[in-house]
Amino acid sequence: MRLLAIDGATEQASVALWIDGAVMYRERSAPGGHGDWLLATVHEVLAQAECPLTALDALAFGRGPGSFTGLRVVAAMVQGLAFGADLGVIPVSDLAMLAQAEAERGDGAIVAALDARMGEVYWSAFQAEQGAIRALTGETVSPPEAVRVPVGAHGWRGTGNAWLAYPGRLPDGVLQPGAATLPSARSLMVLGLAQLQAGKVSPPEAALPVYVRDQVVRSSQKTG
Amino acid sequence: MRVLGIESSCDETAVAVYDGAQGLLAHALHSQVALHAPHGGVVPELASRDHVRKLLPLVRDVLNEAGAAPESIDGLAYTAGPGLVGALLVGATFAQSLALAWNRPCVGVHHMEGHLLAPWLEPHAPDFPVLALLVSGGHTLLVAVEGVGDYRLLGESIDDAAGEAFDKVAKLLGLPYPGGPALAALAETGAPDRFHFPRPMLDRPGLDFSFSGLKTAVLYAAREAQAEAPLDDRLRADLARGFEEAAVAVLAEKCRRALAQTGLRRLVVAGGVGANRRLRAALLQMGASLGVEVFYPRPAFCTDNGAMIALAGYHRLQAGERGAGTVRARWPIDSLRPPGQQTG
Repeated sequence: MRLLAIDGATEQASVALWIDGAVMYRERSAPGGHGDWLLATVHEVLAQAECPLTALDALAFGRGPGSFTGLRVVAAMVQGLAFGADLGVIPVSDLAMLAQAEAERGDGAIVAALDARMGEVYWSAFQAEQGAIRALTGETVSPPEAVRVPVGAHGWRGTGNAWLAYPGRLPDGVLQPGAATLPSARSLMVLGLAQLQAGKVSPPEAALPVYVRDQVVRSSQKTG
Repeated sequence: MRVLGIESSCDETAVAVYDGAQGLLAHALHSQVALHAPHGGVVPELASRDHVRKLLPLVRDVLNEAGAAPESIDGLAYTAGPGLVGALLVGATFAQSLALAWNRPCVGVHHMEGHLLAPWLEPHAPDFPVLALLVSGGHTLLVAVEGVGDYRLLGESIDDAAGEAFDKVAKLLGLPYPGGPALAALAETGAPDRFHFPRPMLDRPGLDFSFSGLKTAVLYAAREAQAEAPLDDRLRADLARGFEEAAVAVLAEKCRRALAQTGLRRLVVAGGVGANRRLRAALLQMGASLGVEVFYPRPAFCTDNGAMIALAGYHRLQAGERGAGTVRARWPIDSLRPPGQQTG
């Protein structure tokens, strides 16, 4: 199987290429403007692997939540690449990507939370079993204090950059990550491969962001 | 050479296929007017969100309509600016990625160069050189055009663009968004001589425009008239007509001066306000009196469209231009160079 994975939802952008078990991975950290780097990197890894785009089985991408512009750049890129090479696409949650990376450290319950700016976090809860994750909640944007882990918050591990962004404001009882973690195309690749194996591949039009924060227009009565 | 053109600089998603030998093969547009109407203006985040939903379906439709197989497309062009950066990024990223997948060249195009070249989409197109009046919601420019990419800026608005003034006056008269076309329609029923508004910048030499004061004059006139009687349909129509008369008079007079100053014998008019009926009539009349030929694209190519981007891209790709990478909110038109000489 051949899968290309692209993520640009946060200040960390990354690309992973899986060719029958062989992995190439590229990553960079920069504030915004991932488009040029991502496209150049896609070109570079495919060339280095001597794998034409059309030889891929699908494109997996981080569909969010995350930076609105970053999500759109990735979605537009995946639409263009997939349409042009007649490939299917696999949208993957960026919160699931965080949880997947954490799940590889051991079973248990996981809260993935990303800084959503404006005093809020994107978050979701997962259960990890033998390296695989299952979502326990939907994806939400809320103030950090409103993060609720399902029943009896024992043994929950946190992952993401929300704890760094809002120190002391997320619920007690969730083990804070040692360092801020960000979604990576490595985990995206793992989740994408599972979907590819299950035949869950969509047409290029399905390469769309999931913003989670859908209230983007301030009402004219409000100020600030 | 056959070019796929993509426009996403503001509130229209537009796609077209232009063929150097056969002309325009197909074009399609998705307007976001209804999306922004409740907010009384373009909301950039909503615009970007809509572009990424609508672009690929439009590309499919246009390729189908053109009967153009992907292999027949020789290059791609996208609007690189000026415009809303988030909106531009959608079209630019999609075009560059599709170009990579198809292994075709791709070039970023100046939105106003697209507008300027729109008259060349028509069967009866002018020869160079020409004077170009570009009037839209974002720009009011007078440009001496020696050829594609050879532009000398003669004048521009020092405050509001003409189309912006139309929209703002429409808003203060209580017309629904987008106000410009509604204002023009209302003006049709108004008396031309009830309100005489100032003709800004006509009392001094030069080719720059200013529309902000005119808008304020309408506001004061509306307030004054309202003190005596309610702002009824008659009054609003008369105010609209008075405003339109003044705006059109200024645009026509500046064109007359620019023609006299440059000695150019052809005038092209493009941009959304170029679809205004009264402006067209005034410029045609002026042209006839001076022996100057006036050229307009059809109204659908006055407003934002993909055909003009495909055409501008065609000229640049044909000359071997590639790239132009990053999108930009601002991009002076006179910084452009002729095709093949552009350094980005």
